[in-house]
Amino acid sequence: MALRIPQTKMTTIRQQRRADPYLRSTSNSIGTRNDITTVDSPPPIPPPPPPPPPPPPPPHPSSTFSSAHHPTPLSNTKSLPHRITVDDLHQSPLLQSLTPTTPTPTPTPTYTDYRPSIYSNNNNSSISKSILNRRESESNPTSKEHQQTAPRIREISSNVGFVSLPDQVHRRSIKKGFEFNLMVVGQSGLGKSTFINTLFQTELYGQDFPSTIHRKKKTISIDSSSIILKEKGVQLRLTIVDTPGFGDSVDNSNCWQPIIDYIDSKYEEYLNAESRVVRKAHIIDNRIHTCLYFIAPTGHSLQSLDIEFMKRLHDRVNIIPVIAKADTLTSDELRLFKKSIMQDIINEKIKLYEFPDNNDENKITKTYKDKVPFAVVGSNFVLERGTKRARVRQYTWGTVDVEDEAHSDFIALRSMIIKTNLNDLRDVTHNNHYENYRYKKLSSFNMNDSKNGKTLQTPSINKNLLSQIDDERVETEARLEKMSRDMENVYQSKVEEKLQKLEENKQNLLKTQETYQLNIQQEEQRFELKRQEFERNRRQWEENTNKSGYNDQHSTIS
Amino acid sequence: MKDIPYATDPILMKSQIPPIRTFELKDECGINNLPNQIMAKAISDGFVFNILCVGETACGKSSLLDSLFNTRLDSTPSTHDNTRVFLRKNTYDLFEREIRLKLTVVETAGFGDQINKDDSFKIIGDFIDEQFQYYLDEELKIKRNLSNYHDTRIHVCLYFINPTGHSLKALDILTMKHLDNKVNILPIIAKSDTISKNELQRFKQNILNELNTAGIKIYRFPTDDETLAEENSKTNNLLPLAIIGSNETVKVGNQYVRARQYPWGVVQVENENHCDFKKLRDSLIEKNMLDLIETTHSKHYEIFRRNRLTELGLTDSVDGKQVSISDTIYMKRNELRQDLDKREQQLKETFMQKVKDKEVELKEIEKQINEQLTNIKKQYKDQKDKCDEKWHILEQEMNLFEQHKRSNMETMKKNTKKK
Repeated sequence: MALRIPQTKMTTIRQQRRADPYLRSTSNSIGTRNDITTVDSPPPIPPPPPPPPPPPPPPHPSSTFSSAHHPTPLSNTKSLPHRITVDDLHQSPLLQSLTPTTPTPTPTPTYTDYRPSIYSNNNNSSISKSILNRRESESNPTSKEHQQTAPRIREISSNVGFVSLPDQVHRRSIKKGFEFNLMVVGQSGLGKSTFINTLFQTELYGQDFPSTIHRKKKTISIDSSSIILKEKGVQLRLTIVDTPGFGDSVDNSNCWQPIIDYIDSKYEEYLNAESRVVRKAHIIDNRIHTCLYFIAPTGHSLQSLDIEFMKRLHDRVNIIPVIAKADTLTSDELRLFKKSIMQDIINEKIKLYEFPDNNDENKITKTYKDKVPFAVVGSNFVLERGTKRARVRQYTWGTVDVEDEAHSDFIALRSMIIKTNLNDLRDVTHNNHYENYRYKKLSSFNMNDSKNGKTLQTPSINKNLLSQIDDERVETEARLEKMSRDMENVYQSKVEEKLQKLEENKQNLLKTQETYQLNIQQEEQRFELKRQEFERNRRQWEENTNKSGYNDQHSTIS
Repeated sequence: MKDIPYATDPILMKSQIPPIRTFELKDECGINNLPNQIMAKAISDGFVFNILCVGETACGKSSLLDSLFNTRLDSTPSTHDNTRVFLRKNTYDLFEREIRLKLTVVETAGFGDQINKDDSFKIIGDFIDEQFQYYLDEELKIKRNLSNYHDTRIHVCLYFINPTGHSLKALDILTMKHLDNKVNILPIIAKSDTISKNELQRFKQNILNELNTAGIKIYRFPTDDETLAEENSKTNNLLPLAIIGSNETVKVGNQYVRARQYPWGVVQVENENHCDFKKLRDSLIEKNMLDLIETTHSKHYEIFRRNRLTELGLTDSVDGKQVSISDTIYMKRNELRQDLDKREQQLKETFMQKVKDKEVELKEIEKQINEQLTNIKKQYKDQKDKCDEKWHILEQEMNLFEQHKRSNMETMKKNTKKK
C-alpha cells in the first residue's frame, strides 16, 4: 500500500546549499514531519555574508539532520587551491537568485538562421507555472520515429540528489578550463593594444611590443597570440587576434577579406576536426567568439569603412562595436555620437551581437545593454593611491579614471563580455554562426552540380551528408532506368516499323510475281489459241488444196 | 578521463611553441564568474539522464527506481509470458528544488523468461545502438539542431543480478559482455535481503572474479577528481552493490522509512548496514551523474560513431594523407558519378550495338527481298522473251503459210487459166 510521501516546500535554501554543495541539508529519510529545513532552520548556517567575506562555514553539525545515518559530508570546506570560495559564490549573481522571474521573452530573432531560444521559459516562480510552461513549450525536436508523448512531471522531495548536478557541472567546468578567442579590429592608433591590456588587467602587450603602426604592412596580416589568465582558481585560455594594417592603406577596398578568410578558416578547422572519424574528445576551439570593432571617435557618424566591414561580418561573427579613445568626446557629444551610430546600424540593417536579457531578479549585475556601442578608454598607466590601484589617464586638466562608470563604459563592457556573457558569446558562435557556416559549406556540395546540364533536384537538407550521396545514386539510377526503357521502346517501335515495311515489300513482291505469272499465262494461252487456230486453218487449207490439187491433177490428166 | 587534453591542460600548453604565458590576475576581472555562467546555463537548460534497467522479470527494477528517485514512477508489473524481450520506455520530468531533470527509464520486460534466450541481449544491444544512431543522424544532418536535441542515449545500464548466492548465470555473462562496450554497466545484486552478510561477501567476490575472467569491463566510478576520489574508490571496492528497493513505508522509531517488513524484522532501504542502496544513490545520482553522461558521450558514442562511419566507407586518411570530411564526400561523390557515367556509357553502347545488329539483319532481309524481286523480274523477262520468240516463230510460219497459200492460189489460177 502506498503511503503519501509529503511534498517538500519549494523554498529557496540557496545559501545553505551554496555553502556546501555536498551537504544534504534535508533529512535523509523520507516521511519525517520536519521534512525539509526551511529558512527558519537552526542558525548554524550563516546568513548571506556582508561584504567582508566570512570564512567558509564549518561542516554542518547533525542538527540539520534527523537521522543518524548521514554519511560524513564530503565537505572539504577548507578551500582547496582550485576551489571557488564561498565568497565568490555568494557574490555570484546567478547563484544568489535562483528565484525565477517571469518568463523571459525570447530574444527577438535577429539572425537569419535559427537562434534557439536558450533562455526558454524555465525559470518560473512556482513549479506549477513551470509545469504549465513545460507542457506548452515542450519542443521535442527528435525525429518522428521516436516522438514521445509529453513527459510526466514528478516533483521530488529533495532526497534524491540530482540537485547537485549544477555543482558537478561547476566543478567539471573549472577542471576543464575555459577558452575564449577575441578579435580586435580597427585602424591603427585607436588604442586597441592598450585596451586589451586594460581589459585583462595585465600587460599582454608589453611596452616594447611594437604598436600596430609599426607592424603595419602593405596588406593586412592576422596576428594571434594566446595567454592563460588565472583568477581565483579559474583558468581562461585567451587568444587575442589582432589585425594590423586594417584600414590603413589608401585604397581599403577588400581590406576585410583577409579577416573573413581567417574566420572561415577557423570554422573550417573546427568542422574538419569535428567530422573526423576518429576525433579527439576535446576539440581545441580556435573560432573567433567575438569581434570588437573599434570606431574612431569622430563624433559624427560611422565611416563607410566601418559600415562595409560590419555588413560583411555580422553574419559570421559576433560584432560588438566600441568607440575608441572616448575621452576625446564630451558627454553630450558622446550621446549624440552613439545615437547616430545606432541609427546608422539600424539603417544599414547590421546585426550586432545582442546581449541576452538578464534573467536576474535581483539585478546584481546590471544589464548594460543600452550602452552599446561602448565608449572605452584604455590606459597602461596604473596610479596607486594608497591601497587603491586604478588605471588612469592623466591630463593637465584632470584625470580620467578608466574604471569610473561616469568617465567611460569600460566597466560595462568588461562586465558584459567577461563576467556575464562570455559563455553566451561562445554559445552563439557555436550554435549560430558555426552552424550557418557548416550548413553553407555542406550544402554547397550539391550546388556544384550541373553536370551536362543535368542538375539534381533540391537536396533534402534534413538528411545527413551520406544519405545525400545515396539519394543521388538512387536518382541517377532511376534516370538510367528510364533512359534504358525509353531506348528499348524506341528500338522496338523502329524495328517494328522496319519489319512492317519489309513485310509490305515482300507482299508486293509476291503480288508482282503473281501478276507476272498471270501475264505470262495469259500470253501463253493466247498464243496457244492462235497457234491452234493457225494450225487448224493451215490444215484445213492443206486439206482443201490437196483435194483440189488432186482434182486438178485429175483434170489435167483427163 | 585523464587523457583528455583540456583547453588549459598544462602539458598541452607547454607543448606549444612558443610556450603560452600564464598570468595570475591580481585585480578583479570577472573571469572567476565563468563557471557560474556555465552552471546557470546548465540549470536553465535542464539535465537529461537515461537509465536502462536490465534484469529478469520481478527482480525489483521498478521498485528500485521508485526508491532511487523517491517517487512513484508509472510501471505495471509484467507477466512471465512474453515471447521475447521488450523494452518499455518512460520519460519523466523530475524537479528537485528547481533543478529539472528529464529522466528516461527503459526497463526490459520478459528478459530471461523465454526458453530460448539467444536473442535477448541482442535486442537490448540493438536498442542501445539505435539511440546512438539517432544521435549520429542528427549530428550528421546538414541543418542540425544539436543544442535543442533531446538526447536519448543510454547513460547507465543497471544490470540486476539474481541473488542466487553462487555466481553469475550464463545469460548474465553473455549479456554483459555484449553490452560492455556500448554502455556503462553497473551490476547490482537485486533483492539482496535474501542473502546474509557472509554469503554476500563471497557472492560479490565470485561475481567480480567471473567478470574478470570473462573480460567484462564494468563501470568504475572515477577517481581522478580529488574531491571525490576517496569516496568513489570506496564505492568501487563495494561493487557490485547489493540493493533493496521498496515502495512501502514502515514506522521505525518515530519516522516512516522505506522498508520491507518481515515477521523477523524490518529491512530498511536507507540503512547502510542493511544494504548498499544509499551508496548507489549517492554515487549514481549525487556525485557521478555527470561523469556517466560524459563517459557515454566521449567513450561509448565515439566508438559507435567510429565503427559506423568506417562501415560507411569514410576514413580519415587515404594513402597516408589526411583527408577531411569535405574531401571524402567529394571523393565519394565523384566515384559515384564516375560509376554512373560508366554505366550510362555502357548502356548506350550496348544499345548502339543492338541497333546496329538489327539494322544489319534488316538490311539482309531487304537485300534478299530485292534479290528475289530482281530474280522474278528476270524470270518474267525470260519468259516474256520466250513467249515473244514463239510469237515470232508463229508469225513467221503464218507468213510462210500465207505466202504458200498465195503462191498456191496463183498456181491454181494459172492452172485454171490454162485449161
